[in-house]
Amino acid sequence: MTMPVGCEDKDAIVAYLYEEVDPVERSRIEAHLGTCSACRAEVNALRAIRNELPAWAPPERDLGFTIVDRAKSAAPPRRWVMPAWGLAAAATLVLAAAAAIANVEIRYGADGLSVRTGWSRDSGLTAGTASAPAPVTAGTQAAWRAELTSLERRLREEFAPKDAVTLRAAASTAAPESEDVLRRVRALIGQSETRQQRELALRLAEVLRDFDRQRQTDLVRIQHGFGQLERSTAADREMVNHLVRVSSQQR
Amino acid sequence: MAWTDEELVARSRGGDVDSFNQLILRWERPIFALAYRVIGREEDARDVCQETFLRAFRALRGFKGQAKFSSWLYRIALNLCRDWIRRERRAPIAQAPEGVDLLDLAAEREPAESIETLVARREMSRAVAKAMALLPEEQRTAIILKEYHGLTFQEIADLLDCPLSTVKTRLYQGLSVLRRSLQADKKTP
Repeated sequence: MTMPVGCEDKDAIVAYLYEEVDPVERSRIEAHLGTCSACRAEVNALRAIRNELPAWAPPERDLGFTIVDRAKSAAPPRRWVMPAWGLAAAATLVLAAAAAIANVEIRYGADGLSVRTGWSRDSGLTAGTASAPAPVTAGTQAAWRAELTSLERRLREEFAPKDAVTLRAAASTAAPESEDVLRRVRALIGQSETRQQRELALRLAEVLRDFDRQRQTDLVRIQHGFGQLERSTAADREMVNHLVRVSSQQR
Repeated sequence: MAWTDEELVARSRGGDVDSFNQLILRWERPIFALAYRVIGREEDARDVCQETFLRAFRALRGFKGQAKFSSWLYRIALNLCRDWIRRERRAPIAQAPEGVDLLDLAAEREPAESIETLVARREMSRAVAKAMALLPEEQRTAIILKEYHGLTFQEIADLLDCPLSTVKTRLYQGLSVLRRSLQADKKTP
C-alpha cells in the first residue's frame, strides 16, 4: 500500500514538476493535488516561474577556442601583442630618449612654464623666463639605456612560450586554415550583421518608449505645477479680497 | 557520420588534437553558458570556459570514461567557477545579456514577434538574471543545471557530490525564492 503525499512533501512536488517520477508516484501526487488547492496553486505558480526562466540567455559571442600543438605545427602563426605595461614603459623610454637627445628641459615655476631644447637654448624660445638648464650628462643617457635593456629583457620573458600546447581564441588566429573554418567565419559574420540590425531596431524601440515615458512624466509634472499655481493664485486672490474688505470696514 | 564524444575522447587520448578540437566545438557553448550563469560576468566566463578545456586536455590521460565526458567537463567548469567566486569573494552580478541572443532566439521561434514583445522579453531576461543573482550559490547552481542544461536529479547530485533529496530541496527552495523575487519585481513600477 502506498502512502498518500502530504503538503510538506516538497521533494515529491519538485519531482512532479520536473516529471522525474514513476507512474505510481505520479498518481499519488495527482491524487493529493486533486484535493489540496494550496499545493495545486503552488505547482501552478512554480510552473509559471519555470516558463519565465528561458528568457535569461547567455550572450552570443564567438568563442572558437582551439587547442594548438605548437610542437607539431611547422610554422606556428605568432601574434605579438605587447602588454600594456610594455607599451607604457616603451612610450616613457622613447620620450626620455628623445628628451635626452634633444636636450629638452621643461620647467614650471613662479615665473611660468618654460620649454627649452638644446637647439633652441641660444635662440631663447621660452614661454616664460627661466634659468639656464643643466646640460644632459652621460649619466642620464646611461640610465635610460639601462632601462631600455631591462624593458627588452622583460618583453622577451613575456613572449617566451610557456608551454608547447596552448589554447587560443579564434579571434587571435592569423588566418583560416581550412574551408570549414572559412565557412564558419562567413556564417559568423552573417549572423553578426543580422544581430546588429535587430539590436538597432530594439534600441530604437527602447529609445522611443523611454521618450514616451518621459513625455508622460513631464505632462503629469506640468499639470501638477499648474494645479499648484491655480491654488496659490486663488489663495492670493482671497487674501487680497480679505484685505480690501478689512480696509473698507476700517474706513 | 559524426563521432560520439567517447570516440573523440579515445582519438584525443591517442594524440589527435583535431578530435579534441571537435569536442571543444561541441561543448564550448554549454560550458560558457554554465560559467556565465554561475558567475554572471561574460569575460570571466570566457576565461573559465577556456581554462576548462585546457585543463581537460591536459588531464585527458587520467580520464577513464567512468563518467560522461560532458559531466567531466561540467565538473571541471563548476570547480573553476567556485574558485572564481571564492577568489573574488563576491556574489555574481546580475549581468543581463545585451539582448542579442534573446533576439536570435525570438526570431527563430516566432519570426513575426513585434519589437514591443522583444523589449518585454528582454526586460524579463534582466529580471530573471537579477533574481538568480540573489540566490545562494548551491540553489543557483542546481537550478542552472536543471533548467538550462537539462540534467537529471541524479546527474546533478553526482556533480555536486550531494544526496538526491538535497538536490530536490535546493531546487524547491530556489524556485520559491525566484517566485517571490519575480513577483516583487513585477509590482515595482
